Amino acid sequence: MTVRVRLNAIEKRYGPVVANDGVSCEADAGEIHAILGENGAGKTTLMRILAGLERPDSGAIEIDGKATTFRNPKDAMRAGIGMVHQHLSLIPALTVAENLALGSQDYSGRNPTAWVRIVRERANALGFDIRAEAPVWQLSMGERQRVEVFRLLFHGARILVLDEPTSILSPLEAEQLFSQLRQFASRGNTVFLVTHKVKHAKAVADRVTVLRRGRSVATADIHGVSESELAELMVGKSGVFQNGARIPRSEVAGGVLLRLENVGVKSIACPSGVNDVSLQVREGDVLGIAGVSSSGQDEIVAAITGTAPHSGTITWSQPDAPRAFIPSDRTGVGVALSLSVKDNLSLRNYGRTEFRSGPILNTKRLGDAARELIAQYAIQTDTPDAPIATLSGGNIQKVILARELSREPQMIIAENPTAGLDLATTILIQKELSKHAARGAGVILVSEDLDELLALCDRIIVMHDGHVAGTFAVSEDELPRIAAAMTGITIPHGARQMETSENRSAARATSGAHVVSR
Amino acid sequence: MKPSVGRAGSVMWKISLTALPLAVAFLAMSAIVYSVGRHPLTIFSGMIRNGVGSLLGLTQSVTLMIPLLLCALAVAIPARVGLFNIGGEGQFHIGAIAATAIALHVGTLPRIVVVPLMCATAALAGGMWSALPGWLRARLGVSEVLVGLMGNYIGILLVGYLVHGPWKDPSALGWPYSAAFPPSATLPTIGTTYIHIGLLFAIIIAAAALWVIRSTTWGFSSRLIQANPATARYAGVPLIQYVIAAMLVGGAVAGLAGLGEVSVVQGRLRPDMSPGFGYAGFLIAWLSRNNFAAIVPVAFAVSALYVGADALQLTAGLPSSTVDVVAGLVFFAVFLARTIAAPTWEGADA
Amino acid sequence: MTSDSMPLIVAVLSSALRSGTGIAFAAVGETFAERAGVINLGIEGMMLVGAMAGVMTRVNGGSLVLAVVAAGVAAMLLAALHAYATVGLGGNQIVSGIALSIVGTGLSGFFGRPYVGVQFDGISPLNPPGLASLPIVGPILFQQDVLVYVAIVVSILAWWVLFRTRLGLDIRAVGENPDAAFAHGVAVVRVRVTAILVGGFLAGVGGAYLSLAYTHLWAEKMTAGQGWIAVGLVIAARWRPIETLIAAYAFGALTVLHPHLQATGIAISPYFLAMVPYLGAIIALVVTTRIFARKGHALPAALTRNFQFGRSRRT
Repeated sequence: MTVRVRLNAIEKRYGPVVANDGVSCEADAGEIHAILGENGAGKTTLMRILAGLERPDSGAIEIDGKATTFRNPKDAMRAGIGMVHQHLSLIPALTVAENLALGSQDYSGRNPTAWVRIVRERANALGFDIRAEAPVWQLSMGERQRVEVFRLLFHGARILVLDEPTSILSPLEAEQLFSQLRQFASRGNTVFLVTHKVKHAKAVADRVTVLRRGRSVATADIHGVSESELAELMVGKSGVFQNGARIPRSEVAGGVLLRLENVGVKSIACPSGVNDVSLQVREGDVLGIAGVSSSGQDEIVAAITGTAPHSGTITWSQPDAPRAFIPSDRTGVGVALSLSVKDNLSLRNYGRTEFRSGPILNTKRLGDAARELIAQYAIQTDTPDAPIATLSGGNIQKVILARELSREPQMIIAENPTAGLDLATTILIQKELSKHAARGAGVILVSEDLDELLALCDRIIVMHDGHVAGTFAVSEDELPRIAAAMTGITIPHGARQMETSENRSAARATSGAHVVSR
Repeated sequence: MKPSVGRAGSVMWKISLTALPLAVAFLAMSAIVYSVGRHPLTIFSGMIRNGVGSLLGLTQSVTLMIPLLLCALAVAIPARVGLFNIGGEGQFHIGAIAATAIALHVGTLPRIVVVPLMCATAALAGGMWSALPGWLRARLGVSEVLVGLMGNYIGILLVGYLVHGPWKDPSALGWPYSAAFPPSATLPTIGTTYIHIGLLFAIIIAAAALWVIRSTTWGFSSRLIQANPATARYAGVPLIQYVIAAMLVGGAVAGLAGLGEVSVVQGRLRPDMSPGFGYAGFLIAWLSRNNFAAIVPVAFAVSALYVGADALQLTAGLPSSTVDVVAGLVFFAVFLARTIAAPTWEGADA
Repeated sequence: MTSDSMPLIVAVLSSALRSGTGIAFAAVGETFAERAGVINLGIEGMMLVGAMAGVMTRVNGGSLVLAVVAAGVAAMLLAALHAYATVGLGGNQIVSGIALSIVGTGLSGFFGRPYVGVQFDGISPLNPPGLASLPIVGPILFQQDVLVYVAIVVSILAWWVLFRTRLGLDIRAVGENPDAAFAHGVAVVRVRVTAILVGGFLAGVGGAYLSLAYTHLWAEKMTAGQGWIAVGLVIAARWRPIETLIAAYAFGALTVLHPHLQATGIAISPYFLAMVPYLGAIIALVVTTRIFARKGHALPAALTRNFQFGRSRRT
């Protein structure tokens, strides 16, 4: 019997980087197949090859038993393959109907109203609720993703590829998506679901292929493997978060370092804006900020780091004390890729008086400092003058870490600091954060990874749709409430109490009492 | 943008990157010359002789190099914070206007007063002219390329207005010229040549820019902005100030170019003073990769090319537009070769 | 042509149509290229090449139709170089455009020299009997040559292509986000090259209008910056063909307004009038960037950004 899709020994290199190293997997009609792996495991590359967006260096693609090569996405579309990208590919300036017309054989453009009618009819028939005439920039992220999925079904896709579709969805929206996918598969279609979340693979897939470092390490029936077995396959070693990166600290933290009161920020991701955020961080505090991506975390961090204008008040107890900021966009913000390792290690320090006299730089001292950090953090580079673009992702993050933490910061703001990194670097980063908290620094950890937050934080604030949906003490028991808050579901009684106690402690802190809610 | 790897590093590769397209450009030029019935070799030898092969040619090449080098620096300085200044043409004309205003109104004061005053005014005027697109870019995100382009024509039209209107010299027999600059409003020159103190300014500016970029905190900040504005913002660099300052300095330098032309070479304000110095400067800066050491010899080479080609009008009876053909072909050929070697897929920021 | 008895407004409109037509062709062409995400700063050179090629063809015995087509094709060849450099090789669009502008200026001057001052039979107003002598509408609408009407038709056609055809949708998509358009199955390279070539052809026709119809002569650098004005008008009209046509006529009106104004005793320098389109473009640029950026559509979002197949984007 022939299978619907078979990828056989796919290889793909980008210069020295091997993205896919002989990856194989297959999926049948009616099957939801999860491609599971950490960031950087090669999942997206594999699926881009299937969708005709990349050409493999070697390996074969078979559709219904026939060997096929895709020269471009159009070829793949003709074979019934459609891909929803992690970064949605709708064009904001065009309307939904116009986006649907791209790549459609049926569209002539002559009669826009008739086209809108066709789109509406198909949407109704397929059970999608979409606004066909609205320009895409007016749609929420959830709506845009629905349009993406609909677009593929509209074009007659039989094989659907979704790349990390849940990263921009709340758990409720994700569940809706999953049931739509199940329906689609039950009609004899095939779904590839790319994810790094074991739970999602377990929840929706029939079979799973696990990728690690560009290789397919296992394919299994989803009911035949446990979550921890899958996690182990993904990371190669079990227990990333169980090994106790958290260092015990004294129960009563020190003085308040940072206080936000009713902070509001304008936002593109949250149409209603980010509103009314209050929080405080004390010495030795590790405060987690959780939430589905684009819930307002980025805006709050931008307000704290001073890169976005805000309303409300942000108070630093010592405004001039050094602060560390580890941004989630490492290569877009954290480093300048075309500059050297040395320059990237210096770029937050070169203005300090020990590195300059007047406007003249002391390049020797900057070089010495950089070499010291390279040794101290075991950054693997041939020379300090090598362009940082030649380093691996883990080493780039180590450069950022070294630069930020060497300033002995009083406050550390870390955004997804371990996402997509290898285990060793992940543990190093978590240990460093805990070490600095133990030293007395305040830490704000923004992460999409609840497990990481639970392992490292004292308290967790959950953001939803631009506001604080709740503040929680860290314990396994709170997990369901935290998850509920992320979806924006009415917060259960216990959690509400936490929130009010947070407010109360904030009120107390203003009157000088040092109490922290844990 | 991407770091160079592999073959891009070797010296032979670098040399062939310039030599090959030049050969292609000259082949194309040969075909064009041949098509109008001339022998390419006599034409090229004539170009070299007229451009650098005689004292007169050399003098002319150095004279023409002054506005070209200044206009190229006007592009290269903003380029080091990632900006495209193609408003050099406008800044040049505004600088010329400012210098003329001084010459016409207080030009009879002692030279020691008038010359520095002209320099300051021309630089300030050119700087203000480019600070506007800089400000619009920094504060409002408006394309400095497009605003700069529009500013070019406004500047040129302003000159037109002045020489046809309020500053028209009644004794110029109806020609649209301003009155001639008095001797005290003429920049110091070498002997009787037109090589003026602007050359010294240009070389000092290039050297200073080189030093600033390599050895100062301002230079580090600039390199950071050029490499990645988001990182620069994150590192605490006041982006807006740098963007406006770099544009202002660039415009000031182009303003000095206008001053030199109007004060020494033309001796009066007149329309069509510039055969496109701003655009040529843009291409020279690009050819030298905005490198302040390379920009001086490149400006001289382009200048010699212009002078050599220009002389063909007299010596070989070729049209004056031969200059544009030669320069355009060389620019485009080098551009193609360099693009093949390292495509700039990222594109410019319009 | 403009008799003293003719009302000012009629005279101005009549000559506005004429003096705006050359720019209208070039600007509508540039609209295509920019909508597809490629800025072409070489149109000044391309107009000149067109103006010269038209005269060259005509003087050497070609028909007027052939002359106009030759003008378009000659300019299109230059535009093909721009397409090769930017779309094909991924070269910087601004550098390529400026270099080609110089090449075009040079080549037109070089090969056009034998034709400077040469007399030829150009394109003349149709003046259909009866219609042309109608009051008001006669001078404005009917004392015009055929290319004036062609420009109007081309602008309407451009609107129709951009907003009512599949190619137009592809062009707009490619200019907004070439990677997404490619992922949706749009042939990005083909669409961009098409838009650049159409733009080049129209720039050439615009140039031919100036030499064959408007002035009936060839002179070196006779476009006098009209190619650059076209770039400004495209922005001022916010990348819409019909508005671009109107903007071109408005520019045409400004250039012919001066003598009429002087006759009525209003003294304003023609140089200040000529600045208006540039100032208008700057204002339009600021306004569009500020107001429309928030709504997600200011400039074509991918303007000046090149596209490469299979290039994995950093995120």
